[in-house]
Amino acid sequence: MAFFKIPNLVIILLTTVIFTIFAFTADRFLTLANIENILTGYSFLAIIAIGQSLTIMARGIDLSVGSTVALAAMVLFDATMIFELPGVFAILIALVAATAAGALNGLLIVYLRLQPFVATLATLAAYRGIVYAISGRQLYPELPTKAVTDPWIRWLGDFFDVERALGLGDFISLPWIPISFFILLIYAIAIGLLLGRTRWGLNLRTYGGSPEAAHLAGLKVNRLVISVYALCGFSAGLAGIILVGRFTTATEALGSGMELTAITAAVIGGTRLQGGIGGVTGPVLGAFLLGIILIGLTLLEISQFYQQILTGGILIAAIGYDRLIEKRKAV
Amino acid sequence: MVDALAALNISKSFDGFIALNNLDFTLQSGEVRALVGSNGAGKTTLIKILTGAHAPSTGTISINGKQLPGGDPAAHISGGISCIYQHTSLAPNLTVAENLFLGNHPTNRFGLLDKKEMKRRAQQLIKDNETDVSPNDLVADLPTVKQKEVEILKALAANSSVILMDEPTAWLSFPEVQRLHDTIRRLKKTGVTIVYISHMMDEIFRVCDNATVLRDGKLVWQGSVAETDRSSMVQHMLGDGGQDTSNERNERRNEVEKGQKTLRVSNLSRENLFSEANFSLYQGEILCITGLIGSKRSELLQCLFGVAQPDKGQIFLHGIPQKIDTPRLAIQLGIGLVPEDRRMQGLFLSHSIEENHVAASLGDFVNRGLFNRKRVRTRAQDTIRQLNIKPDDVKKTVGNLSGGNQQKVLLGKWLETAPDILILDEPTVGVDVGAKNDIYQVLQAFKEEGGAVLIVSSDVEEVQNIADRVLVMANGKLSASFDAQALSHEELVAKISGESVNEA
Amino acid sequence: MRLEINKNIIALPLVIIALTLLVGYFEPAFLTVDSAIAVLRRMATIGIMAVGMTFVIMTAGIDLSVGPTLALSGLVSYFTLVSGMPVPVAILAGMASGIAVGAINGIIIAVGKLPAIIVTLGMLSIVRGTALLIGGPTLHQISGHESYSFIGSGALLGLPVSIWIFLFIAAIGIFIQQVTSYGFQISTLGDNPEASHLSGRRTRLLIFSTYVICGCCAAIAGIIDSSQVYTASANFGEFGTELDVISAVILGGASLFGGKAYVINTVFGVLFLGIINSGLNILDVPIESQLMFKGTLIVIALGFTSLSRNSKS
Repeated sequence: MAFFKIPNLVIILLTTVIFTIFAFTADRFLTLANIENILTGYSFLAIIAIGQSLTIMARGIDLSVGSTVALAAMVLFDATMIFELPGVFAILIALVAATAAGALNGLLIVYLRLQPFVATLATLAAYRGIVYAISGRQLYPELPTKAVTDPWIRWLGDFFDVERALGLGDFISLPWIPISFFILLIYAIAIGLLLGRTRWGLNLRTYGGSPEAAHLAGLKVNRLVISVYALCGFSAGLAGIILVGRFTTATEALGSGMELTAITAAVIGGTRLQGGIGGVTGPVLGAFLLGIILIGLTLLEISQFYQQILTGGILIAAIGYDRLIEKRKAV
Repeated sequence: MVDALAALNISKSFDGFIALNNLDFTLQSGEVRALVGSNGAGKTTLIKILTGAHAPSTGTISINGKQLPGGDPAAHISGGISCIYQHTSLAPNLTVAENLFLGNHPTNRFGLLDKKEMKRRAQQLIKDNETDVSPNDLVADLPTVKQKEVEILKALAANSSVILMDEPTAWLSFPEVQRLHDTIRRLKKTGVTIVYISHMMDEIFRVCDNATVLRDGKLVWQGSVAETDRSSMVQHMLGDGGQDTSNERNERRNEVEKGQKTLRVSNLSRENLFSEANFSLYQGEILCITGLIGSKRSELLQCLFGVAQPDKGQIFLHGIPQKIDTPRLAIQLGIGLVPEDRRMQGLFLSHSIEENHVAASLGDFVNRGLFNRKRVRTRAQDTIRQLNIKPDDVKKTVGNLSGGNQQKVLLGKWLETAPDILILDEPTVGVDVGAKNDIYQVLQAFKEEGGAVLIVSSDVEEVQNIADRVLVMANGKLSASFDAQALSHEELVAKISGESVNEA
Repeated sequence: MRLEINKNIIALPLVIIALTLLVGYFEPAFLTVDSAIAVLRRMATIGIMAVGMTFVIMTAGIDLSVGPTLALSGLVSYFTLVSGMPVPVAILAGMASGIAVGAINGIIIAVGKLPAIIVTLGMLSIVRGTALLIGGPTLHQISGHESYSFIGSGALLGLPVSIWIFLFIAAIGIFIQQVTSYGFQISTLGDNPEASHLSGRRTRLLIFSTYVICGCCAAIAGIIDSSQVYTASANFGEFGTELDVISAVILGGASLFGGKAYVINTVFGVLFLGIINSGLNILDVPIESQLMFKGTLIVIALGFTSLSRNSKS
């Protein structure tokens, strides 16, 4: 199962080293609360990064994921707060909306032959506009202060008490694991299977590695590309509903700038911009590595502005490193 | 007995240009057929028709008696024709097994990939064909020859009975070529029919049963390779030009008076490409380097123009050793290069004739950063007249011109830099006869004014027509120079085809 | 030498006129000189950046970092003013900050040969972070600097100064692209990088220079922006600015794959966007929905340009 193998020993090592450094330098880093923080704060991001890495594997990119996160969140919010639909339905509708948004990106790229980054830059604005337009918080003045109460949705933002489940509460204390982390695990396994064990996954890797080979083998390339963007939209949607569960509300600006972190996580995780190479473990590790760095820096009371600078720097360094390896291989 | 492949009455024209003219191409089962011809002879068009990439204008294609629709790649693959292209059509990031069944992977009853079955079938195929790869190898990690073998396996996995191989040895070393040939002989025994497209005469004589020679879209010769020899094959390929130019040639021979040595190349080598190249180029002469395609002549030119760096050896200009590390420096030193691929390396296709004309000599047209438009126009118009470029409108976009006129624009661009040394790589490929003559005349004029011309050409007729001296390059080795006119057409052909026999 | 306008884009001015009349039909006040000036004034900063971006896109590059660069230059100018320096120095300092950002982009892309989208996406974050470090998230009021405020708020011969600056920079851009050797070298480089290298051009230097130009234009836009609202803030040039700028260039017919492009057409692209922006405003489309409309319109327009180009080749 190539997709659950260690894709990149370097990043695991790097994560361990950085983790250790913070464990010694940052006071509250090695606490249960902080581990919970990292898991809560970056599980949803890892889900987006998985979706993003699919589009990058297909030689594309999706800049609209941040807006899609907000779109799913707002649809969910409206469905449960205004239309008072049961949580399961509301979640389903939100995921469908996000998937449709992703599929629309794919359609624009395939049929209007727009470059992925232009198409998704434009839909980034358009989807954000839709979020504002449908925002229940603006339509009904009483809503902004009300919290989502539906148990299904609340559950998404909940935690799982490992100790009690294992009956070990009296002996050791373990961090409470957020539900979102379990969703991430299941989702990662599902996408891993899809990539590693289905024709779809193989076709995607073929197309990314050599569009020429995909054409010559008669693969249905258009359908493939659309499905990749749809799945990326779905991932963003999943992240969106998790965030509603966590914040018990949806804001219009939710997810802004998230495309940068998602792309960075995917690229750190070894997803090749030249296409065809990538998986699920890489982006997930990438997301948590980023999380450890950023949360560690916060604990060291380093301004979040430095963190912004660092995120950008890490992205550029990661592609630089990628290019360097490529070059060394070619020689 | 039914023909393994029967392409009958095939014609194909593009916008009035006839690429293939009423061609019959039939093969028996288990036959290895060479398909040869110089550039533009129609080989590529025939391959594309056979693979279904193009639909023929007229004619039918059938495999073992079953007719194929034409113009439908998927139908041609399932009908039993596969093609191994010069550049790999494998996905480099996938394993051998994954590549073998591209688009047709075995799945289990849950719709998941059946990796075991896939590996088992791949293993079987590898074993049956005695190929030395593992199903788990990543294609990107395999050497080129093994990638070729995987492509052959891929064709077999699709149950192909006819396999086209387009220049299969272009990127292979000599022992690798032999391995590939062993594979071909083995396939032949199992009844697979192979079309072997190549410029390498010795390979054709080593591995093929029969040969078909195309020239200008027509079949000019077909027969058993056992009943012919290299020289006559090359002769068929190139046509018998040069007969009525003998008088002119004698006249010219007397004219050749060597001017000053402008360029001397001493022991120039680049690893795995060419070695120990030595020659001199004089003012007022045209020196041709000829040889078969793939003899690494373009790679030698790249070193002279600063595109690539030699590992060893020196380049002297007017007696002074120079280290030419960029094209910019080469141009400043008075060298011009008309590259082989005018569309990819030479021209700015969405720009006009006048814009292309001045692109390498901007300094002469720019004053304080501004264009002297009038000067640009006059110079471009002069060149249009001198080179007989059609249409004679400096504003026309170069991408819309014919091949011959594009080549003239490119030549004009380099003449505008007023070089001492003009290097041309295959200057008349895909150029019509009229334009060819115009180009030759301009080169003669350039030479008579004291310029030095170095041409790489595979066109024997062209070499005989314009060269003062000739060098032959084979497998990265350069012969001594000889007087172009001292040799007959047949002798020159023999030198080109004969010397490539001694490989290794 | 090439004062012709790209022919397949002649449609854009017609569309602009049609759109103007359409909006004017519903709201006659739109068809007044004041309204035209307002449209232009709103688009001046986007227009200035689009002129710079045209050169980047001609080389098949892209610059996503213009938004934060705008904010950075406004802040740098502000702090230079506050430290007591004269206005010209403040302006130069602001421009220098944009040039520095462009130079970093340019070096990484031209010499490091890394993909421009990712590099400038990373720089977007880096520059925004730097701006926030310098200025914090608060607004900095610029007061008591008459001549600085004049840049964004003053008027000359009845036209706001910012429009004059836009027209001036557009004119320089058109001039550079149409008649100078540099413009020609950029355009041929984008058309065929290898032929350009073989013709003796310094391709890396050329690519580098386009990002410097783009950064400089973003900085000028930042100075105008800050003086227009008497405020400098690290959050100016919010996400979406680069979309407007890139859209204007592509609407003007430039190909993201590089090659010939016309600054004059970019100016039309800017006008088109300006009409849409102001039109949606004047027709009382809620601000929230404008973003959606604009995104949709841009996609449609880009789709048309892309399809018409593809069908041509």
